[in-house]
Amino acid sequence: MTYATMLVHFDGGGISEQRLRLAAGLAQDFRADLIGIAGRSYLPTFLADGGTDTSEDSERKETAELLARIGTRFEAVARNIRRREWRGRVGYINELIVAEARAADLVIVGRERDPGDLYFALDPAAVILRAGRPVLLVPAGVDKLETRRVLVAWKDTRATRRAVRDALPFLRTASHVMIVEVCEPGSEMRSQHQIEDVSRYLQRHKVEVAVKAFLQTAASPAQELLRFAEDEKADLIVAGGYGHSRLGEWMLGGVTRSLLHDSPRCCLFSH
Amino acid sequence: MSFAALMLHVDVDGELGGEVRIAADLAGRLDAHLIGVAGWAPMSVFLAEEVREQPTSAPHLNDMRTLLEQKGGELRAALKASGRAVEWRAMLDFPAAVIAREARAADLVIVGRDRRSADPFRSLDLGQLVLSAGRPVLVVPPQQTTLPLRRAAIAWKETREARRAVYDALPLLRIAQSVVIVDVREAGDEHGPRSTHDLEQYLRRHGLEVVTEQARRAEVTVTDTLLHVIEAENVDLLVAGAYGHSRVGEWIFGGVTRDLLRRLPICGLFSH
Repeated sequence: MTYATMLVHFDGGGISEQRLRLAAGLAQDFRADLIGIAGRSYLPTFLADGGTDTSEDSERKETAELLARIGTRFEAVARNIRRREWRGRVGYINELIVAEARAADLVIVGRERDPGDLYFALDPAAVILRAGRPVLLVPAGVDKLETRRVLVAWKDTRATRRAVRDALPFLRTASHVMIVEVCEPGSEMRSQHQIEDVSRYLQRHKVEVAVKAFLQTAASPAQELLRFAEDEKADLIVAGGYGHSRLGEWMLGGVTRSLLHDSPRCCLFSH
Repeated sequence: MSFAALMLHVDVDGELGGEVRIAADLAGRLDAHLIGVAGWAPMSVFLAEEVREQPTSAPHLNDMRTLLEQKGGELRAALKASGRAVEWRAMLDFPAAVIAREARAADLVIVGRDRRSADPFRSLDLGQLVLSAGRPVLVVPPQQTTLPLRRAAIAWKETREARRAVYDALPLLRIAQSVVIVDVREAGDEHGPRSTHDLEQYLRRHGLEVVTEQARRAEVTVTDTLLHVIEAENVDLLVAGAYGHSRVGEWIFGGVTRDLLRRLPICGLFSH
């Protein structure tokens, strides 16, 4: 079992196209099918001033045309993927991508919006917490991911246990797997025991772990992880995506938020 | 991503249940490593005061450890016939907390449904386990001793939990002879047939061949409808999302999940 289908958010802009190239490359490496998705919603009538039926009709037409244009671009960029599918839909992108995640094993999204993109509304937090699938977050400017060196950010929680299992297809193809925990002083023994246990678990899945380490820091755990990732030239960071919904808004935990905002590398989050 | 390691809970109380045979059988079919696990939390001084007992004393802790080891011995003896080795992990902590933590070492957790004791220190809290393990939990009803996997059903709903359950269940769905997607619609559910077609496609891409769909209006309750399909279609495994949340540190199942767990006559694979 591997990632049989990948779902990538592509909305036509330059940053988004780099992400699509990355996704197409991954789909090729894993021999996976690729689904591209974009969502556009109409402005509510009360916002469009003096909105009449005709203006709504023309907006509808414009939206359909825009989605079709993005779809054409998707087909062109992903032409090397034989089994690809375009899903340009009218609707709120967060709702769409979360529901359509049923069709895929891996969801690929970005965090930066393209300049001038007024409609950009994708909220990575909402996708991570609600998709029920691992989410690969691609920073702007990254258009290729060869997951040779993979860093697993261990923590003894539900979300991290999920992330480790969800990342197995990446871990199995990696040549250098590292498990590290940023731990509190005094918990080194426990950390070491858990990391050994996870390594044995991974071994049963034919993954050899090259580096097992615990890190300590007086500063932020996320920054320490990112520093380690930089030193070790990690291609991918695997981490639990922590968070919850408060008053209908999706809030991420501190470390997840920092990784999501500050990582110059791709991160795989599971909730 | 198949199941390489299975974790089986052994209750501190009573005899070993049918889940032991099911776990051994699955481990054989999947060629997976088997880990037995048990937990029993010492009563804290604070709680013990009320029953006017000594705070958990060292001899008492030793008795607890002895009983846990004895359970491990029982499990090894029971599995001897199957020829499968078993790793044993027993800890002095609440069963659900022990299993959830140790689940880092396994892909699937297998537990018996019914509790033999009302003592929360030694009786498994299924809600806490399913909601906090980060692994699918196979819940085996009493008297069930086999899981033939002739026909599996997916209780489909357009939610994170149901999507998770499907993803988590793939290794079992792949060895099932057939799979039926049961789309139980309640008033207010908006998703159309596209949702289940899409799911069917997803399963086919993972090599599942015999997939059928059934759309049902919820009869009296969602559980009634599911139980009806299970009986009519001879289903022997139900895959379902487990709904719930944590309130003041306590994990609480949603209504349908609780109802389903109580009444399900077959094995259920639950994911949160």
